[in-house]
Amino acid sequence: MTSEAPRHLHPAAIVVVAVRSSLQLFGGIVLVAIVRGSGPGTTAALALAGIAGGALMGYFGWRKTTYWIDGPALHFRSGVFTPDEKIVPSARVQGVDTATGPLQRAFGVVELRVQIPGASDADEIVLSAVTHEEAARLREALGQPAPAEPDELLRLGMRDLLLAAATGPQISVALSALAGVYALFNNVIDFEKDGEGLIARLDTAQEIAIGVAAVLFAAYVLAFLAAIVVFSGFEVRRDAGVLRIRRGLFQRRATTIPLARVDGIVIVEGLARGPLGLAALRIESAAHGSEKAAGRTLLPLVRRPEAEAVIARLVPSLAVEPGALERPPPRALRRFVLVPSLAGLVVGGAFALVLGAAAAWIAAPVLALLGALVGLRGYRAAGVRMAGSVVVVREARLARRTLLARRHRLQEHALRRTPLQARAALADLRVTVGSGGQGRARHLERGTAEAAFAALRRAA
Amino acid sequence: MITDVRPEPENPLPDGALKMWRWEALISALVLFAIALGIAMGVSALMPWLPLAAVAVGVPQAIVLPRERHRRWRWALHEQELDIVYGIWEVTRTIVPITRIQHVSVQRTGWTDTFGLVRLHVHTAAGTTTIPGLAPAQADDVRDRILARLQTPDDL
Repeated sequence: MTSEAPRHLHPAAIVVVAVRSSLQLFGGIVLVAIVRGSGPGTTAALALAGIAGGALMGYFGWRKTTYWIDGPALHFRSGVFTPDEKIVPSARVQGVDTATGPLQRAFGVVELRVQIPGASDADEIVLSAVTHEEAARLREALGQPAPAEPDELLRLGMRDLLLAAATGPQISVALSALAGVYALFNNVIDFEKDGEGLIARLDTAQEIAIGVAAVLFAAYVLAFLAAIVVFSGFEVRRDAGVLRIRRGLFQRRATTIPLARVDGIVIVEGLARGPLGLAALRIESAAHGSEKAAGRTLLPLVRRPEAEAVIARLVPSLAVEPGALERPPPRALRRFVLVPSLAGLVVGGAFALVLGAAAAWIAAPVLALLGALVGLRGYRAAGVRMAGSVVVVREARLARRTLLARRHRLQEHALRRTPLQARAALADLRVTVGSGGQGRARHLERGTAEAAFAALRRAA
Repeated sequence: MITDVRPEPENPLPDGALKMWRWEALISALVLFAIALGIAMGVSALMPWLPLAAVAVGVPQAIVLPRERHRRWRWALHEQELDIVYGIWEVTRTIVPITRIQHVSVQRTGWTDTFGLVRLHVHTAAGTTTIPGLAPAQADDVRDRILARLQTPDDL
């Protein structure tokens, strides 16, 4: 193969980068102006300067960004002041993904992301605007299979999308967003002065409770909307040995994962989803280990009884015959329950001591009981099973997780016991997949754990 | 019950590792004691028991833990896998299949040199497994044996 002349991105990249960077500059400038109490004229001038700066960055960034295919490698040169050239052999390319935002759609171009195993998001090569034809050409040149007629195709319907968003685990994301908003307010308004008044007004326990509930509800609504944005139009298809996943409301993302690189799938039954008989499916793959949760989702929502069948359709190498897990014996129950109950008791006691109110001591038994329930849940979930070339490990902490992993792709497996477990002839089994994700079955019958350990070793 | 679990690995860590852990434990115990003493004398005279507590924690930590840790540590490199056993309270036996190993590194620091040791890190896609002390010749041998078996196709 021969080297080709360096190419520029589609000129739409100027606009994409200009808008992106001027939004950043614009936001920062306006915030500074508001905080410093500048007049509207100054603010507008600063904002215009921000937009102009963004446009310049867009233009020069485009001028200085080139890429070309040279034999078996992709070269990518970028950077205005410190040009930097990345070279990726096509054999190392994990997938060529696209992310198409509203701007790119308006220009009829796509953003191409070249996935390299082990690279963080920052190290990915991102071509912010190329035409569809150019994308197809690059994909072919980098040895990526072109989309074919799918063997399997699953779409997330509107009803399931709403259900997934309503029961999602993204609540923590919303909480951190709220923390950000709070920090912003803290900077903008004089919290010392206004805040004390606010707290003074919230003087009764009832009002504080209402405030907390309002914050939680707002967080929930934010999480709901975030999930809708991320998972809208979710679609997963399998064709010619790869999984193709498309999702997103404003920015459409298309991800490709070779089936050969899928180490396992986790069936996650979250606290809200479990009781409703729902679960999410997550991909364990070394190439996508560093991705955020959304990027590793095989399906945001599935009926729990259908989960194994759906996995078998999408990832045939993880198909398992239905069967029962090897469970911990009844004498293991107290080992599951004891530690979380004691932890609840201690935390509750500490809470009561700090608060110093007699009524607060109720927290100790309540938290101990909650701990006991968590332990019971762990006991009821724990189990392991060898199903042909697949190992199934189930555990529960807060969410119940069932890991289906290809045995010969396990990164390591371990047997663990404390002297107390040894005395009771119990042991823990732990398997580790490529993304660093683990499946752990605790307090198994020692013989069961050792047999599984030995079987895994033969597979490895 | 089926127990065709292979016998546990047999190679202990060299005596230098025990010596190194003893020194590390001794130093950390001394630091702990110094901090406790500092608090008791300088910050709050109300805590005369703090240095005593530090001694009560530090002495067993320096004497018992390194010995137990060393007694438990065992490793073996088999045809197909690296097999290690470690842990004082939780005793863990971990198998790392050689085909999954991405690279091996041998780490020397001034501190490990003092005890005639090196550390061997085995990296997989999931993380790093470390043998905390080996004689340099031993480590080179392990590394070469692993690398000799790594002539596998490029895969994760």
